[in-house]
Amino acid sequence: MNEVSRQDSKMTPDRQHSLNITNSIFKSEQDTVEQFHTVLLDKSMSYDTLLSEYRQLGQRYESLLKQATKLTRIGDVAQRRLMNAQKEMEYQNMLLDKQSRDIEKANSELQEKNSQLNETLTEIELMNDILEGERRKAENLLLNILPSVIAYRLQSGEEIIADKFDDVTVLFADIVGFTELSARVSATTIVKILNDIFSRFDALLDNHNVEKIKTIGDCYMLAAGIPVPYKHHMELVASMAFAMNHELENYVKETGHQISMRIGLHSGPVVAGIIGTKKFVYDLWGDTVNTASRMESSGVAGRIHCSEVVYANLNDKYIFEERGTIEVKGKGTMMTYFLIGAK
Amino acid sequence: MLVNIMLESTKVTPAITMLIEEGLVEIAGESYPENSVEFYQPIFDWLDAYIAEEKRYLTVNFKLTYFNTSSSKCLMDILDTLQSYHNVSEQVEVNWYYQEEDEDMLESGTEFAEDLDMTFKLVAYR
Repeated sequence: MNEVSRQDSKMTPDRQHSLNITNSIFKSEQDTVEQFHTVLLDKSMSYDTLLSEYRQLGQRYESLLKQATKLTRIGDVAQRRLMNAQKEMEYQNMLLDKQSRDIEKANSELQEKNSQLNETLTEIELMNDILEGERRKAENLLLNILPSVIAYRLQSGEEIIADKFDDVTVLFADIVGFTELSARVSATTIVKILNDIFSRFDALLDNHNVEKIKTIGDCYMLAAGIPVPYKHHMELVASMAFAMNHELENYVKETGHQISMRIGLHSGPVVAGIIGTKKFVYDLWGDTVNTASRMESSGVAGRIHCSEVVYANLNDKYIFEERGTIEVKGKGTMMTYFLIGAK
Repeated sequence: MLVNIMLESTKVTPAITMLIEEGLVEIAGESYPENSVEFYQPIFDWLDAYIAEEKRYLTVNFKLTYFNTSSSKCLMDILDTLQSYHNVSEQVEVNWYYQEEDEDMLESGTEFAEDLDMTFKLVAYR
């Protein structure tokens, strides 16, 4: 193997391929070199022929020189173009990197703000929960003090509520024997006893659909037919009066306290509502209230004392006992009855 | 037998259009094939056949935006062939198109035009 062959055998495939392409591109130039060698080796060539060949080779050489110069300049242009493109690409990459960093930074800031926003949101939700809890407490308190429809009217902005009702039944119940008891036990015990009794009455309210108005000392006041008018208001109050008596009897049995209760009932028109701006109380005004109170005060312990209007409306369903006439301030004498029980 | 040739451009080779009836040759796009001679050989063959068989007017349009060195050698050889045809027929027109702001392609066209003795127009386009 000669030197050239050894070198060829060491060529990589890429190098060999590149050489082949180069050889192909310059085929005409290689032909010229071949021609030169042919002329050089031809010893029989005449001087004139040799001169002609020499002239052709010279012209060809001149042409090739021009081509080489041209190719070099064009190659330089192409290289400059590539370098400019490369610089532009590097510049664009730099811009992209900067944009990428800016976006990353903005994203990070956004995440931070988002996190802060979430924390604020959580705090707001917590505050909202607390506020909602407080609002519910306030609403429950209001509903505990006032009938629900009245509470909603106040919440919706009404400042003075004074509604006229044509037909309402009012009940007063007064604990009898309380004065004597007060002399024997402490004030704290008295309050506890009252609280126990009135709490039992309170527990009956919802089932009988009557509205507690207030307590005045040892007196318990309620009504039916307000704040929403109801046709059978007398029956409701009568039923409640029996239930209250029954509850007190149980209490006396359980505690041994020697107390009883006078109950008075009357029906008629009232004005119901709230006046003033502080310590709201849903109250009733009118002659009906005064008469109901008089029914209680002129009643008998353990009995339910009613006016004639109550008797007139309920005697077909309930048993009454005529009490007789009583004197009512500003109204003169009135026929009254004791409500005994249902028929 | 001489036939029309129409090749679409690729990422590394230009579009080639060679129409016999119209006497039109057009090379457009970027040219940096892996093997320039292999790509341009059909063009040489077509030109040789056209010159030998048709002997009519020939318009050659170059609309190149980039070419590598081996492509530029092939382009130079094409121009040599066209110059030879012009020398015997005067039926050749070469148009070198370049984008209006592409000074490199204008410069390359000017280089190619140097030492040629035939119609060689430098045409700017947007």
